[in-house]
Amino acid sequence: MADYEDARAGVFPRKKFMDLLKSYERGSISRRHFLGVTGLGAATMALGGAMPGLFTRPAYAEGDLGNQLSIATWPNYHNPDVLQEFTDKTGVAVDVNVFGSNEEMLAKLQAGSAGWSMFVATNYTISTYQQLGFIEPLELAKLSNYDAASQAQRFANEGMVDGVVYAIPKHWGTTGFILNTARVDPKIATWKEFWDRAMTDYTGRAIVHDYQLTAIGMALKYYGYSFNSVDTTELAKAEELLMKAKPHLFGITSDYQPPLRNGDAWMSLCWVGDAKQLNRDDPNMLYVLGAEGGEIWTDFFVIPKDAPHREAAYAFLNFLLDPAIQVREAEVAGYPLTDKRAVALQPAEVVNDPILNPAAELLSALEFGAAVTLTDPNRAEIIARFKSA
Amino acid sequence: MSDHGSVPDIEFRSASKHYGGVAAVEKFDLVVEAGTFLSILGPSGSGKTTSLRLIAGFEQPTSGDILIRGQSVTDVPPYRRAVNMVFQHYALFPHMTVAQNIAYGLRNQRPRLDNAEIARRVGEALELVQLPGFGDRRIFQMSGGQQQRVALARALVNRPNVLLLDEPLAALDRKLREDMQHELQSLQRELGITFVLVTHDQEEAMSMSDVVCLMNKGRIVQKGSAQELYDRPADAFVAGFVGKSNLIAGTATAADGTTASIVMDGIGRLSGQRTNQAAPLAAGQAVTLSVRPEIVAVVPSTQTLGQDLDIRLEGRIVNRIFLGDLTEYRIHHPVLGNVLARRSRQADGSASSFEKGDAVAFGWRSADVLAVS
Amino acid sequence: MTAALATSNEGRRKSVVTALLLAPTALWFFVLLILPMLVIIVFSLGERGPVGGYQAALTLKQYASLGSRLAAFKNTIMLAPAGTLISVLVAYPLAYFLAVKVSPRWRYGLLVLVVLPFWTSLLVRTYAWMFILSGKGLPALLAAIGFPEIQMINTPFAVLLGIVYAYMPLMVLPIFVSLEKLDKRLLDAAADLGSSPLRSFLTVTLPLSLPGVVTGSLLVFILLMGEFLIPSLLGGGKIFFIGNALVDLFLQSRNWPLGAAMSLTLVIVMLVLITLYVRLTMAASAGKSRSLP
Repeated sequence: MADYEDARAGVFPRKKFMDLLKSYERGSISRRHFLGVTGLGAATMALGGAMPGLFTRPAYAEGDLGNQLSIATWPNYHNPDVLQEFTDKTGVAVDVNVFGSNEEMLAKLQAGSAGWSMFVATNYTISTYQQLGFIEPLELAKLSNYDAASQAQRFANEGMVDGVVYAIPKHWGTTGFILNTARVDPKIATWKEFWDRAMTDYTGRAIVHDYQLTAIGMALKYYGYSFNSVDTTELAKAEELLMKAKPHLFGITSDYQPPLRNGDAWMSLCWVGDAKQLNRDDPNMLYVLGAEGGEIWTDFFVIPKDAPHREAAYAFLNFLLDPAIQVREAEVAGYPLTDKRAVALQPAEVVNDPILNPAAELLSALEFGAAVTLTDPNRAEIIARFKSA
Repeated sequence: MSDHGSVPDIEFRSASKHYGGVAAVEKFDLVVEAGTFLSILGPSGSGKTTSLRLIAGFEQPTSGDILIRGQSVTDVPPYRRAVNMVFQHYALFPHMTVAQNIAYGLRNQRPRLDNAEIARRVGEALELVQLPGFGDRRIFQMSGGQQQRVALARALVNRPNVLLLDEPLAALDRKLREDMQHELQSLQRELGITFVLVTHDQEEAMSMSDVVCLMNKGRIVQKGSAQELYDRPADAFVAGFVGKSNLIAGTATAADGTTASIVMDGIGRLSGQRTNQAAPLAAGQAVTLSVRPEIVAVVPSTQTLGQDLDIRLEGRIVNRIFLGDLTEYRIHHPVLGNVLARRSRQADGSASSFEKGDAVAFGWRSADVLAVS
Repeated sequence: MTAALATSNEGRRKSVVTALLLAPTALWFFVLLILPMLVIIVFSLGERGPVGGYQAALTLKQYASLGSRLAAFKNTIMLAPAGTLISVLVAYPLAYFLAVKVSPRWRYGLLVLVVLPFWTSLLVRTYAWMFILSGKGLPALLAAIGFPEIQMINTPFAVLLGIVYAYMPLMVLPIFVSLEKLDKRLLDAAADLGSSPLRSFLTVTLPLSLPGVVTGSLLVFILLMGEFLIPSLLGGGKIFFIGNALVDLFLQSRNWPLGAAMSLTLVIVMLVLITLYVRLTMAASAGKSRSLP
């Protein structure tokens, strides 16, 4: 929470209020939505850039690391105690900029001079970032806590381009849908049913992400197409479905926890972390991986080319890769880990949680987001048209 | 106007207006006969504007009653009263043209007047105040004097029974003010309706009105013609407020029905004619002598005052104000302080002029002095 | 001769001083208004780059595809004026009450209360409305008194409510100022000339406070035309303003040329609407008294 507070101190003047807000509607400010919608990620960015001394704290050890580090990440994605510990150890204060989506980060990078020393990126963006020269191969020699052998290869592979490691995983996860079984048929198991019921008996009760990858991907799934399709005919069908569904939707938002919790909405596209939180507070909340498939993803740490405070960034990344630290980070972020050494340290109920770690056969139908979806102009335009229709 | 016979246009019956316990107008009794030009005169804070606002209906009396043409209007809102007002600073509508301002009241009349009738009457009103052809001007394009006339036209066009004027000339320069005084007077005679004018300027009140009603501290002090107020002031306040006067306060040493005397150290006995002979006055009571500047004679100290003057004093000129036909002198006397004297211009202009510091002899006839209690 | 020289030197020095004093403003205008405008014009004639952003070109096709955002234009052009109008209707009585009816002793204290919400972030206040309008908020209360199944959040109503709530202080202040400086003697004069209180209000108070209404309306309207926060939070992504479309084009789909074309179109639409509005209200205030019944 504190990273969140730090980054947005100017916007929420009272920590108390936010705590209250959070306790009232836990998880109401979801990972991707809040700052994406408000553009505050960019605002804090500008603040951090314009006033580099703003977040600086007294250095504990004068070293080569400097005293400041700027990262871009998702909201609620880090353990504030971990950040503080790093600062205490090294004297480097971590200035956190939060963003709503990969697309938003890409927009920032394209606009030039983001000023980040490190940022997080979802699997499907890595190759594009590499091609555009936004990121550099990681100097693994500086990352003593990194052990390639302990990484689940399925996830770690997405961080490599031509065998070179550009990115190291932080978490992995799935995207499916959530049903409030107190209100809707618990037997809905496919994307086809999800969309059809959303437009008929559950009209006005379903939510679709404000996010091209999943909104379009899950519409493609309705027809059994690939989640990642960029085929114009298939995309046209997906757009048709989205447009047809729009009047029946409760909303198009990635901030779907509040309406699900207070009963306004009954079903929604859902990330596994949100699903876990919703289910923990209300057992009626059922997380489903659509039978046709869906998304599996990995989030990575990457270091931008010509990163400022580069040594500090490596020190920070190495610190975060410590298995014990990874576990503490996961406690806050709520997503599963890819590093076997860290998983071994996690409590059994986390490792065996059926929501976080579904059976292997359920995972097999899922697809990693493909790089092409990030830059495909049709997908960008379809999601924009869907929202503005 | 005489068509209503003996019914007065306005009547205050023991009307009082209090603001949170403070009396602005106290036990006001006043009858204004139809066709009168009445001035309500008084210093600021005397309650004169409040009394006008009571007639217009902007204020309601705390007690007592107000009648317009014999009808109690206490519960009648301002927009239903057959009186119109010319406001201090005019209160013209800045977003309207001159003609629209004047037509404003006509458009409120029921039954409705048609546009041609309104235009005709607006034209008449503009003629009346000598502003023909100014109808399309905006208010801010008009001079102060012109705005004054528009305000007058805006009120008169409604043919009110009574026209109320609240310090209408205060914002005008002297020349314009004098012209307007004459115009108002002749307008009132021409139209024959009752004018009630509020002013703090005694000259204005004296020069225009048939009846002056002098107020002080919420009460009527004296009501009468200008000459009555000047010649027979009811008390020292009136004597001091109406016209200039040298007031000499003291304790009556002797008094009868017609005269009163006081004794001043170093001067001796001073006396004057009582103005309010009805009021009893006995030795030992306070009395004020009013010596008008025009009865004070002044000669160089080397000369002798006229034989008819029974009071003879000496002093020194401390100030001189040239008023054209008159010259006003301030003479210092060791007991009386500064005494004001006015001398009219001599035909040859020679001996009349004193300089500051000149030693002079001055005096007056006791028969010309007023004694007010 | 020397005197003439001195004065001409004086004149030159004066003009240098004037130029120096004006320089920051001129620079401000150039760097922050003219230059970005030129950039936007250039961008709007370009093409989206292969991975987004801008690619140089000279084409009008961005303008041709503005139609795909027609709904956003329509929403904005319907809801922004509606929000402005409702703001006037709500703010006017409040401003009138404060400026005319309340005793001066309380006036400024109450005025501070009107502005007080500005001390908290609009984001937090809009989030509060999300809770109030959601299923467990007002609709639950309405259900308790017999009006079940009323959805408020994610409707045009919620967006309107949100924008009126957020921008009303901006409307109240200018109206308050124009009403407060209104000469109360004019109302006495109107009453004296036979106007009932209602008629005095319509013929004197209202036209004379119109400048405040116009100022407030422009303030609110201009902000509403660029609004994106409230529609996205209270409209649930279903009621899309031009502002939302622009955020989307620049921050998500990275189609800068289309975004530039839309921005420019928005500016032009606003200029046209504002010109019309000012013309009409000025004509109305000038013609007001002429067209009295």
